[in-house]
Formats: sequence, structure tokens, C-alpha cells
Amino acid sequence: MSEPRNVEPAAEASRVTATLRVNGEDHTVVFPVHHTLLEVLREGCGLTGTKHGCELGECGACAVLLDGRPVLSCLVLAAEAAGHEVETVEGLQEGNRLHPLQAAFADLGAAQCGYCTPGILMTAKALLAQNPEPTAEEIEEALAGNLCRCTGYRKIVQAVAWAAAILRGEEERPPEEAFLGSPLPEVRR
Amino acid sequence: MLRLPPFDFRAPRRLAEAAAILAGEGDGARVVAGGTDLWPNMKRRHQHATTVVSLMGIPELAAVDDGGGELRLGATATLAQVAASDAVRRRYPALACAVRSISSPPLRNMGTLGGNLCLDTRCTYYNQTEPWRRAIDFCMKEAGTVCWVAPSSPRCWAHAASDAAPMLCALGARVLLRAHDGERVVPLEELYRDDGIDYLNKRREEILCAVLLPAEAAVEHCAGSFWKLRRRGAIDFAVVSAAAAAWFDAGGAVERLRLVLGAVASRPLRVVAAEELLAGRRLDEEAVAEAARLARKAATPMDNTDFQAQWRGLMVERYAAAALRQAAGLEPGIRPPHHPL
Amino acid sequence: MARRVFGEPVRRREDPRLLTGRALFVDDVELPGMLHVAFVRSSFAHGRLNGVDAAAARARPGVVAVITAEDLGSYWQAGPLLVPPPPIEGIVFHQRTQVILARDKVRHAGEPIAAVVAESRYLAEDAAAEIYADVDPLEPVVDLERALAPGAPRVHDDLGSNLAAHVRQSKGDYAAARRRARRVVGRRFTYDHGAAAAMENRGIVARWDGREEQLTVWDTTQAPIPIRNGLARMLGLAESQVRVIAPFIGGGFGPKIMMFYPEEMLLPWLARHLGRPVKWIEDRAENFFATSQERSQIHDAELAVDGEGRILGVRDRFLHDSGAYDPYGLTVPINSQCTLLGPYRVPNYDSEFKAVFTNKTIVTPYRGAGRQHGVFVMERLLDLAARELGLDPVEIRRRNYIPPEDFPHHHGLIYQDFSELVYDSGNYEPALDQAVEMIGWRRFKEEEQPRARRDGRQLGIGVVSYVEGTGIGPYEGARVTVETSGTVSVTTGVGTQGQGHFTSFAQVVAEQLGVDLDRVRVVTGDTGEFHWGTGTFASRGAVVAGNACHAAAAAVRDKILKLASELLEASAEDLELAEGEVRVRGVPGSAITLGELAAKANPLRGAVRPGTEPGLEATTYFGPARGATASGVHAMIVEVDPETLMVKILRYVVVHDCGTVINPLILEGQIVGGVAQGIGNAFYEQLVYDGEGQLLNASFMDYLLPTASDVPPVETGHVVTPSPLNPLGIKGAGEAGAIPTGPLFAQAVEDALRGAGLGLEQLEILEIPLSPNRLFELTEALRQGGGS
Repeated sequence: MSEPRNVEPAAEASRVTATLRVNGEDHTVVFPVHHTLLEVLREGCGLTGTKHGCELGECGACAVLLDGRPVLSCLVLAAEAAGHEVETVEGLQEGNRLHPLQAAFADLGAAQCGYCTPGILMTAKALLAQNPEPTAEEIEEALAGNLCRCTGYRKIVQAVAWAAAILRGEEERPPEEAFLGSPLPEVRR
Repeated sequence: MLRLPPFDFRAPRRLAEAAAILAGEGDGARVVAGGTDLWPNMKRRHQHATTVVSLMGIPELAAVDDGGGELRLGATATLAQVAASDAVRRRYPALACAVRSISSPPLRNMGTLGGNLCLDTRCTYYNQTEPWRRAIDFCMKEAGTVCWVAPSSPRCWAHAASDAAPMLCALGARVLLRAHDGERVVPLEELYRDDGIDYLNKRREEILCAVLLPAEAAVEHCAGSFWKLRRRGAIDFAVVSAAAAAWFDAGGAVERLRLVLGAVASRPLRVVAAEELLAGRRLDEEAVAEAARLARKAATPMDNTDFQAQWRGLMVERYAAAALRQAAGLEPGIRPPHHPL
Repeated sequence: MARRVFGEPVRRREDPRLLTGRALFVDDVELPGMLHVAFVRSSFAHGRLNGVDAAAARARPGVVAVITAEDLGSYWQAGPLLVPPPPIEGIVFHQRTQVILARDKVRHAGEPIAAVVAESRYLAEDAAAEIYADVDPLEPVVDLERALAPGAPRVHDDLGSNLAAHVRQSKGDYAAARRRARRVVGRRFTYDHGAAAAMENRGIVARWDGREEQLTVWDTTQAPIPIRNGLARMLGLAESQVRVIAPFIGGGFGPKIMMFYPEEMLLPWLARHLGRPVKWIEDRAENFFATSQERSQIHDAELAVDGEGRILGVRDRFLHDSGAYDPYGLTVPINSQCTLLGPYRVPNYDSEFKAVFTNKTIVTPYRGAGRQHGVFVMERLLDLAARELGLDPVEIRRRNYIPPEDFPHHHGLIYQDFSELVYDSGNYEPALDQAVEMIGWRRFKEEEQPRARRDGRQLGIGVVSYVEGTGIGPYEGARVTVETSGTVSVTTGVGTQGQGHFTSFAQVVAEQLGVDLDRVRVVTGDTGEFHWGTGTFASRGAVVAGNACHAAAAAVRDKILKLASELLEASAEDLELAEGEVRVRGVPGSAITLGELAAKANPLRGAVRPGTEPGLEATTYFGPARGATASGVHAMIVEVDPETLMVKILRYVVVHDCGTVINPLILEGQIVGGVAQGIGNAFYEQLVYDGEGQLLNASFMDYLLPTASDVPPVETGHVVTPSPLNPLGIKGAGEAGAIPTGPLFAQAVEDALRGAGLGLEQLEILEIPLSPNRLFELTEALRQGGGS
């Protein structure tokens, strides 16, 4: 457990001390009550993998899991997250092993600038927990609140489908040709 | 940075406690549930609060109770829970469809049914950045005196943006409101007023607690349908939405029907003329076309979104027709790319 | 045998950091004692600034400073002109660049007026809200044509009009060609504003270390070295005192190279002035007002063809919206002017444009950078001519392609890089054939479209061609070092914003040195590591920096071979580099590792012989004579719902030629991502300004970026025509996907609605972006016109 960190240096509105459980670890932080989970994760817990994109719930860059469900941390008060399990991209890998989603994203080139990627990975993780064998449309629908400006989404959709197959134990890695240039067959629609 | 202003935050565990706080705090108090409407509005300085009372810690408000008769949906059940609820999908599939069309998946995980029903009204002038609103002088919905949509108008023309509301109105839902001094149950339709500013018939301290769906609106008695026009496959508010619920007699004629439009007035707009026209008639192509024309006539879409009023008017007709056709078991007649299932 | 890495779709070396949340973006920089900055920006598009009252803000707790133009003293200045006007005869160009903080006048909504520095961003914003800027609004300049009318209000009072530039380029004799023409088709074409909307907003962190006298700046820039040079000059520091780091950047697409943004000039000054680190991160609303935009142009163009549809000439007159200032010179309109010619033989061309100052956000290149407009005009003119002549859209393009034997092809114009517009190489017809085959053009026309129409469904098809001048100079450099551990370090000056440079540059070097990719470490975007360069723009990273890496690696390879041949007593021709060692071919056991060689090249005793250098290192620069011309063909099938005018893309095919491919996985990502932006540009995204110069859709709720549900699968095909202008034969690919989508969309939608028996036979789509609402207006006008 970390030392309480005080997020806001100057005097301000009412402040709370809360313990956030993030990626299975407790973080005790002091913050003004009107600060969002996004801000406190980044500034209080030092977990900067979750990104600011629009701050109005319109882009999905700040998606994290709250009790396993994807939510936009820019529209959640940090105070409201206390007592719930928060998962961020920093908790996705197990030790040095990439989560199958991370591995599939790397294998298929599903990340470009990587800024929207943490939010997409977390949203996809929740999808696969709920639906181990999603169709392309189901993946598109689940990710439709996460804007990406670089990739055009197609490789993301393929990577999520691929990770699903790995998680089901059907595949270890994509076939060599999948990352050797020849286009992958489209995910079943 | 778009940041929240400071406020006192209260998270009661019991409804009575929430009601007491609201009664005691005065005009500066607001309730929040999922926060997907209030927080952005406060970040953009559209709405203000000195005290925010969260309802999310009150277990009884989140429950979905299906006793087989009336279905009771707790106001803080999330939109995702409502859409996924077995009772909703089985008994009121059109409602599941309407709720699935709201915003994006993460926002449906956060946003609640009650929050969606109380959604602030929207308008091209109002829903702008703060500097812009200041530059043209605030409109009457904010701190000013003029409606920029219709400057000579004495009223505000901001439009209702909820997708659940037209569907629930069509299905004849009622809502339970509770305050420190008592509770009441009113038809959802009566919760709304035709005013962009004061759009809810609800005292500030009343809490929307639950939505009650009548057994007679379940799928075995009633054909419901919902169509929503939006540009993208997600995120967008409706350009127009149309919800229909029809009860047929043994001969296949319309016994009773409700047609309710979203996003074309300051409240969910019931098209009474069309309902009267269709009562006792067969819902065939001709009847549908006639009713859809009446829907277009009833709707007065202003240029208060980024779409031209004339196109929106035409879309009202098309989407009303699609909803009616679907309720009648006919092909919807339009092929937009993103019909929400 | 080491596995080949060049040309292979190897996994990206940067992904482990990006996928785990460990990658450092500017907003992730957190420094002890750091202050936060918020800006007061103009609410008005145009106005006289009488004064700024900041007294209340200054008195607030936690506020360290409030800075206005006055407080900057002699540091107040206009930013530099990035690209001077090209050497074109008769050119008129008025330089008016943006200032750090507005003084006297505001010229676009969002222009910074004052900066608040406080202990937190919340406190800074709260204080900024209390600052009163006394502005008398002036009539804004919004409409391009009215801006040039006599008596129009002026954006810059000291200029006689709002004319920013006037350029005419021509070749041949268009008037004579027109007289010979069988047909002349002319129309007005318009293209409206769009935003790059990178997911990461801009941001700057600056730290002045008074003990070291060192300024460090973390900046979301695509061009860290020019930023370093400019900051040193403006602040009166030596370049060696300034380090600019562009860490991981969350998408660039052009606007992150608009040098210098006012915030970029101010933050480093603040850090030095206050002696504390300062941070400013743009929010999304600011991004819509204060980050540069692109696209408004109005073209009056005509095409003269002979009876067979062969192009005799093109004439174009266009207006280009510069926004309030023109720091990027004429890159965008010159690109429009030159790219219009496309892959076609155009013997006679007469093109003239006027760039216009308006009270809108500054216009600088955004992915495509003016090329879209030229391609839109030309492709639409060809479609119109084809229709008049009864030709198929495929056929009229085929008849006009520059044939493969006609390269290099001289156009006789001056391009954005100031050199003559010459296409280095190209082979256009195979790409067309492949695209037509992939999309199933004939089958669609003969079977699918008629069948769909019988079912009441309106399907349409389109095909367009384009070229893209890529990989322009002046140069980039790279340093390659073999370290004693055997690690190969590669350093370049360009920044990276998702293009996979950490991987493609490593591939280039690994191939040369015969080492495993895991042994190559690439650094980009840090002026502390490499001192010379320009930046990542104009689809040039892989071409120019990639070739610099190649040249540096080749020089190191020579050093390796020279030293190894001495040590192994074998001639260099008999040596091979593989698996991180040098071997004598066919002599087992005769090997020395690169790490050992590096140690021997940098001995602790003994003398370095005159004329040699220590270590296995080389720094090399590559500067192409001119840009390499990439090309491609896009085709699509759409379904238009005639009841709602909503459009669904059923298929999208891209066949492109960007010369030699370093990494097909990365290339595919660039192409498909570009197409997604092109689709957004064509049908979803439009920055809507009102008559007051106010942007009406400054949020992701109202400015519609396509979502995962809106972008169709994209099928890609390849043609490879290596560029003779660089040793690797590479052409750029970064912008290609986004360039031709507009005219393609227009053609396919027209095809769906014309001939459908809907009374829309005369439908012509002459503008981008489109929307269902706009399509309704266009079709309704025809129906009304046809009915009356």
C-alpha cells in the first residue's frame, strides 16, 4: 500500500481521503471530491496509462473497468470508485506475459500511435469476459464508444477476435502468414 | 481542461436520507446517478450545483422486479442492465432495442434509466462551448433572455433527447416519484412539459425512483417498435426517433396505438392525430402513410440541430412509418445502415 | 541463416510499451514543483482588444502569474514563417504569422490572450475564468469570396485587402487547347474544413534548470529539431542549451507541425522566467479552436478533352482559406495546384489561386495537405467528361494515364519543395486493372447493380486514381553505432506519431548489419540524441529518414568489413555479416562478433591511425533531389438508402504503389487508417462555422469521427514501382489512404442514385464533405427543378 498522496497542493473545496483498489492493489489518496477517477488515477496513483481524450465521455480514451464493466473514468468521481475494483491497462499483463489481447494487438498491428489503445484494450477485455466468441459486428458494437484516429479499426476488430480464440484455447498465435502480409480472412460477420 | 467545479458530494445509502438532503439543501442541490449527463453539463458550465447527491449507493433504486405482471425497473438500473435484463428482452423487446441505441457501450454501463428519462434538453445554441455562448450572450435556457433558435419566441425550443422516453411513453409506462413528504405515481407521459427549460413536471426535491411497465404492454399483448436516426453507429443522440406500441383486436385491426416521437419537441411528442386515425383500422400501407404524414405535421423540428428542418421533417415521416410498419409486421421501408437491431 | 527482416511484416518494436500503458506521452511527464498553465482565449472571431483585466485572477490563491502580451516585454513576437514562398514568377505573398498572445486585435475565436500559471490546472482555470478581456467585436471575415470584395473588413489592418497570396502556374497554351477541344466541362467545386482530431491533444512541458542552464521541453510536435532551433533563437540560448523531446505522440496528422504554436513559444519562456517547470495540456475544446485546421477551397475549373476523352488541358481558378495567419506559407494550395494533374498526361494547364485571410483558425497541412482538393477537382472533371462522351469512368482514366515509358515525367511546374514537379517513376494501369478486378467492376455493373435495383436497393460503384508527391527533402540524418555489447543504436531527428519508425528503421539497419532486430535500438524525436533534421510530414519519414538510416548502416558496415578483414586476415569480399557476427564465408569457426569488433575499434591503448575514426559508428544524411511520386487507385461500392439518404459502404478496395515496402504490416495500417480518415472527411466530418466566424461543432458529440461501426473492411492490393530517387526505392505512404476518398464517394453515390428511376439523372456532386442532410438538399433541388 502506498503513502497517501495529496493531489491538489493549494487549498480548495472539500477533500476526501479514500482507498482505491486498482489492479488488485490499494492506493490511499487524498483528493478534492469533485476530481474524476481519471485525474486521480493519473495524478494520485501515478497510473498514467489511462488517457485524457475529451473529458466529456465522447471518445473512450479513458475507459477503465469498474467491477469488470468498462466505464469512462472522466465521468466517474474518484470518490465513487472507492469500494469497487478498478482495472486499468497497467494491470492487464500477468508478470512479464502480455495478456492475449495485448499479444494479438502486437501480432496484427492493431495499435498505431497507441493513445486510444489502453481504453480499447480494457473495453475489449470486458467484452471477451462476457462473450468469449464475438462476431465482428459484436466487436464493432462493443468498441463503438472508443474512437481511434489512426487505425481505421479493422485490425483492432481482427485482433480482438484473435485474442478471443487464444482465450478459448483454440489458437496459440496467429499463423505466420497473418503477420507476413497476406490479408487475414475477415472475422465472421 | 474541462473540469468540474467544486461542490459538496453526498452519497446516501437510503432513499429517505437522499430525500431529506434534497429537501434541506435548497435550490443548489441536484441528484446524480450515472453522471453521464450531469458531469459533462457541469464541465461545460451548462448546469450548476452546490451539492450533488448521488443515488448510486441506494440499493433499492437499482432493482429490476419482474413479478410477471407489472415490471418495475429501478431508476438507477444502468442502461446496460436494462437492455440485458431477461424480463425486458423477453417481455418488452422494443424497449431493449431503444435502450441499446443510446450512446455508446461504456456510457450505457454508467448511464441509468432514470437519468436517461431526465436527460437535459438539447439545442444547437445551448450545447456549445462556454466561450461561444458567452460571445453571443447566453440564451434563455442559461442565464439570458433570448431563444437563439427563434429570437422572437417567448419560450425555449430545446428538444428532448432521450431514446428511452418515447418508447416508454408508447408502452404506457408510469413512474414513481418520491420526496421527503410523500410519493406519487404518474404516467411517464405526464412527467414531461413542452418547455425546453422547465421540461419536467417534477418538484426539484422529488426523486425519480422507478419505472413501472404495465403487463398489457408486454409482447404477448402489444406490438412495440423503435426506430432511431443517427449518423454514426454509436455515440450520437437521435436526429429523430419514433416509438410505436399497438394493440390489435381479434380481427387484426388496431384496437389502440400509441405513436411517440423523440428529438422533435421539448418533450416526447405523442402523435394523437395519428393514433385516432388508426384506431379501428387495419395497419396497412395506406394507413401507415397517412399516419406518418400526420406525424410529420405534428412535429415541428426547428433548425436547432445541425440538420436542416426540412430533411428532419421528412425523416420524421419516414421513421414514423418504419415504426408503424414494424409494429404491423411489415417491412420497415427504409434501409439506414445502423438500425439498432 | 538470419531471417530477412527488411520487407517483412515484423511486429512493432514500440508495441510492448504502448500496449502496457508504459509509453511516455507528454501529459505523462510529472516534475517536482511543476506549475500548470491555462489560457484565456478570444471568444470572438474578430475584435479590437482594448485591454485585459487580470487583477482578480492574480489575487486568487495558488496563482503564480498571469501573463498578457504586455508582460512579455521584448519577448512578444510573431512566430517565424516556416516555409517561405516558392520561387514562382510573379508570386505575391503576404507574411502574417501568429503572435504569442494577442495584442491590439484578436483574429480568430480561440486565439490566446492571456496565460495563467498556478499550482494546479484547476486553480489556473478557475483564475482564467475571472480574467476580463475587453474586446470590441469587429465584423468577421468568414466567406472566402466576400473576403476579397471591395470594402470587406480586413483581418490584418495593415494589408490593403485579405489577399494572402496570389500564384499562377501554367504550362502549354490552355486557350489554344480549349479551341481544339471536342468538349469542355467546367464546374464549381468546393471543399470544406475538417479537423485532424488526433486522439491526443497538444501539450507542452518545459523545465529550466538554472544550475545546468539547460532548457528541456517535452512537446507534442512532429518536428522537434526545428522547434529546438527556433526556441534557442527566440530565447537567446545556444542550441546546445535546449533539448526538445517529442516522446510518444498520440497521433499527428499534420497539425502537430504547425510551428510555432503560441503555446510552444510561451511555455519555455515561462519556465525560464519563473524558474519552475510548467505544463500545459490542451483540452478537446481548445483543440477545436486552437489547433490548426485545413480544407476550405473553392475551385472554378474546366477540362478540355478531345472526342476520345483524351485530356487536352485543364484550367483552374481557386480560392484557398488561410485562416487568420499563414505561418506555413503556401504548402497547402501549391499541393492542390500540383496534385490536380494526377497520374494523367495534361499537356496544357493553367492554374491560378488566391489565398485568403479569414477570421478562422490557422490553416496548415492536415493529412493530404491540399492534395485532396486537386484530386477531387480532376477526378470529378473526368467523371463529367466521361458522362458527356458516353465513356466508362474506368476507360477515361485508362486513356489518360502517363504511360510507363514516359518517366521521369516532367510537368513544368514548381512543387511545394521548390523543385520542379517531376514524377520519378510510375506504372498506373496495372493498379487500375487490379482494383477493377478486385472490386468486380464488370460483374457489379452487369449483374449486381441491376439485381439490387430490381429489389429496390440502390447500389453504386466508383473508381478513382491519384498520385501523391511524397518523401520530399531537404534531408534527414541518422547515426548508427555498434556498441561493445553488440547492441546497435540508431538515432534520427524525426519524431514519430504512430508510424512505426522504431520498427521500420530497425529493419533497415538490421538488414545491413546482419543482426537480429532485438539487438537494434531506435531513438527518434529527441534533440539531445541527434542534432540535425526537419521532421515527420509529407509522407517522408520512411523515405528520407529511412534512407539516412540505410546510408549510415552501410557506412558502418564498411567499417565493420574493413576492420574484420584485418583481424580475420580475409578480404572483405569473402566476409559475411549474419547473426551479429562477421564470418569468413565457408570457413567454420572463423567469426568475430560485432561487439568484439566494436571493442577493438575503440581500444584503450595504442593509437588510432590518422585518417580513421574510433568505434563502429557513422552519421550520414540523405537528401533526395525531389519527392518520390506514389500513386494508387481506390474503388468502392456503396448502398444509398433513397428514403433517408444514408450511405453504407459495402466494399472498399485500395491498390497502391509506394515503391519498395519496408514493412507490409505497418504499411497496411497506414493505408487503412488513411481510408478511415478519408471516409470521415467525405461523409461525417465538417467543421461548421457560422457567419460570426464561430465554430458550431467543437466537440466529439457534434464533430463526427467515424466509429468502429462506420469503417468498412478495406481490401488492399499492391503494385511496386521502386523510386529511382533513393537507394531503397521507397515512396511515402502516410497520406495516400486519405487523399482520393472524396471524389470516390461522390462518384459512387452518384452512380447509386442516377439511373435508379428516381428523377436524379442529373445529379452532380461537386462538394465534400457530404451528409445525408446535404444529399437531401441536392436531390430535392433536382426533384423540385425537374417538377416545375
